[in-house]
Amino acid sequence: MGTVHARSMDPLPMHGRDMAVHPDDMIEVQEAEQETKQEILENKDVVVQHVNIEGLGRTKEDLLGYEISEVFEAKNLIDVMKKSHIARQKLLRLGIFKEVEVVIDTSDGADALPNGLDVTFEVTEMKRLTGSYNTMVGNNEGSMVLGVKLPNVFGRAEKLTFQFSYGTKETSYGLSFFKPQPGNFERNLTLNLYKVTGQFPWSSLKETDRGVSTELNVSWLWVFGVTYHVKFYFIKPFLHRQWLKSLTQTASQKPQRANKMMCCLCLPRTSVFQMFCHTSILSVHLLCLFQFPLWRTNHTLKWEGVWRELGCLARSASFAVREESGHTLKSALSHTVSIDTRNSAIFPKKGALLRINQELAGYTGGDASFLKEDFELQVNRRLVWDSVLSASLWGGCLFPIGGSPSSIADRFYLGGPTSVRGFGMYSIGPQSEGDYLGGEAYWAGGLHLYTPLPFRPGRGGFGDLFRTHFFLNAGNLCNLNYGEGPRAHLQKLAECIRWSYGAGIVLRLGNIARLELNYCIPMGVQSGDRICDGVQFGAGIRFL
Amino acid sequence: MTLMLSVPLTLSNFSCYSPVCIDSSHFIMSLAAEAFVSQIAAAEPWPENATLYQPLREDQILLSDCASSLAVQAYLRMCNLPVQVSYRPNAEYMSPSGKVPFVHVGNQVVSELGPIVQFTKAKGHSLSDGLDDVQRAEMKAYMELVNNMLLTAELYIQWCDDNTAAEISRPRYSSPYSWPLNHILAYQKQWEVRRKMTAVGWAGKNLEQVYEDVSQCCQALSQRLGTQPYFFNKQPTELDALVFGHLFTILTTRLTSDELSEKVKSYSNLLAFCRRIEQSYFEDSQAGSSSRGYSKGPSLF
Repeated sequence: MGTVHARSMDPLPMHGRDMAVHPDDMIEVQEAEQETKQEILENKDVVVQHVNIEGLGRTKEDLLGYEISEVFEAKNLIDVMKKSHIARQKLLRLGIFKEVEVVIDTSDGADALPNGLDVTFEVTEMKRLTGSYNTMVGNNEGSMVLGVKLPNVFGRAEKLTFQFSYGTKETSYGLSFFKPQPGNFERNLTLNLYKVTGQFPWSSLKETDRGVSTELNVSWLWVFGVTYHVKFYFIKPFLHRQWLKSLTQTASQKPQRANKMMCCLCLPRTSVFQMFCHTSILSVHLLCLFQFPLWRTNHTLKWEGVWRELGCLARSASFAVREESGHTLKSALSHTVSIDTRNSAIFPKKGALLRINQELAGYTGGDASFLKEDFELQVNRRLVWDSVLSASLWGGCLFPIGGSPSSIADRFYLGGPTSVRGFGMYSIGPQSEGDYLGGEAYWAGGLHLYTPLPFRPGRGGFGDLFRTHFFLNAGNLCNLNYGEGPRAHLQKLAECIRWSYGAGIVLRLGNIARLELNYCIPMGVQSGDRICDGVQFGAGIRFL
Repeated sequence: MTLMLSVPLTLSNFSCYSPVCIDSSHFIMSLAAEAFVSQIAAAEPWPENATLYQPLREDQILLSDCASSLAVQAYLRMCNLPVQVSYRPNAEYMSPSGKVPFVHVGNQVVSELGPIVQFTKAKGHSLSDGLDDVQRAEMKAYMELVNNMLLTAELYIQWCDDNTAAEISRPRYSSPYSWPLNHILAYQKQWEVRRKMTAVGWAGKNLEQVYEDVSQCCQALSQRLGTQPYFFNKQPTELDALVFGHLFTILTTRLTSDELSEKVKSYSNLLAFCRRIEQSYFEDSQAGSSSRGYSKGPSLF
């Protein structure tokens, strides 16, 4: 961590005049000596007088002030060491320094206090331009990524990145500009410009997206949510009910309760926007209701404008896919809230993940007009003998607004080694002549039991990257006719459930991805689904 | 790679379910498979629900596309094959070759007049069976003349003449899209057509030369037609459909200037020819105002 220099101020205690020293007394005296020595180090009050940062080039100093300000509050030496360590981590997290070293020294100079300390951070800035080459694993696809990065462009930890990626299913390039808020790295803004070309053989579709997006990440304390929650849980729902009542009264015939989805279509556009806001607030309420133990939630607010070009991948594409060819413009606002209390993203042993995402398109221009909601929940619990039980639930719904039908590029897809195992990639649900069209509503659930490899070969090393797993997956995907009520929708989602079970081996790749080799037995197969019974291989980041 | 592993190796496991997609649909069809498919096409009769797709009539379609579409419709009417017309803003992108119109017949999608003529011939309907080889060659030559001269002239006037492009072509072409996509697509199409004009050597021409070319083409057609009712004997052929499509559209579309339609009007036998075909084949659907609505200008009458 660095060299520590400290000088003791108090003289060592002297023995008494009694020379006939009892052995017990001797020990006591020695312990007293040691104790006083320890006292010097731990309990001695210190004052941090100066904190310096050396080695700065283009970085602006006001940015770093926030990261190192806590070091001044340290009261004793151990505290100084701990806080300097934390400050060092924060400086490294900014992503603008290659190395940071900490030197703690007693202060000297004219205004030096007897117990004053000087802390110096010696930093090495990153070069102005760096290049990188890596391979990436996505959901059942792999790609090579070439990147050029300009860290710390204007001196306040902004980052400009250009990336080119060539993969088995997708080719893309993009420019990205990242700016954190000085003093609060977790609040940041990202601007992206990109072009992505993807090929989807399960739908015989190829898609080219050219877009621009702006993303704002903030992280809130849920303590805020409690007061928010109390205020809104009692007041807003009352207003909410009144609003719903007024809607159902304007609808013809018998007032059907909670016919929200029908109302969605015939509502004027302002009301749908209200619904988006209500649902955003509602998702925050839900998190508070579930009393998630972590006290931080991450929110991401994003605006995205995309020019989408759809085309047929082969001449033999079905006519339903051919009808979707052409150009559309989507301009969408989306909000994602996520809480992750798991101890690791791959093979978590405990904790839970909840992520709720909503997207509203059409209010800021463009052709596409819809409200899309989806959520992801995962809970993990450790059982006997190092095995972990994990349950996950995904679901989503797409409401087209304004009467125009939904586009194949916006719908949900289900099936494959990363979703309901035992079925072909995205090969469940509505299809036409072998091309899968996706659906407007879906749910999927999984129950997994992860155990270490039998007989634990390679324990402590390579063997820890593997797990065996037994799974049960289920799910359904369908289109909803929004003229019916929610009860009919739930019924439709509950019939014809596809499910599968099996076992396999999972390998962890780094901290983000995993590979799976499973033996699957699909059940509940409906006509039109493509199955993959037997051995199935999958690679990806996000698994059911 | 990873995708292929998840494709089932045996399809017969679930025989109680109908077989799902054939994997070859994900790959380019071989020539043998195409020949097989066209044999199947020949075996099936012309269905009742055959549909022709073209861009939106009122706001979007341009002169050249309208002419091609009218030619195909005239041809199908001459063959007595029923077809419904469907208007889609993305018809150009739906088409397998990128050109409108295209017909969706059974499982097949065929675009442009040439392939459609072949397709109907495979089904046993043909207008040019009565011609001998010399006449057939002549017919093909005149069709090439119309395609190379008239169609190219229409494209030139629409996209290379700045006036017309700014006032008519770009606004109409981009009408179904929202900002800024409308401008991007309109300019993209304009650059594409201009590049094509350069490739065929028309980039150096000016508007007067193009009108002159149109005039010469009409003169050649007029001379061939003479006083006959149709170009070959008394029965119409695909050449008649093609010429009708282009000339009728030119006569009934209002552009920034009337010069193009004046060039055609100066040949009275061509005028009579268009009138004759309109009366014989399009009069029966007057109630739906289908013939009047091909263009944004007034009708011939």
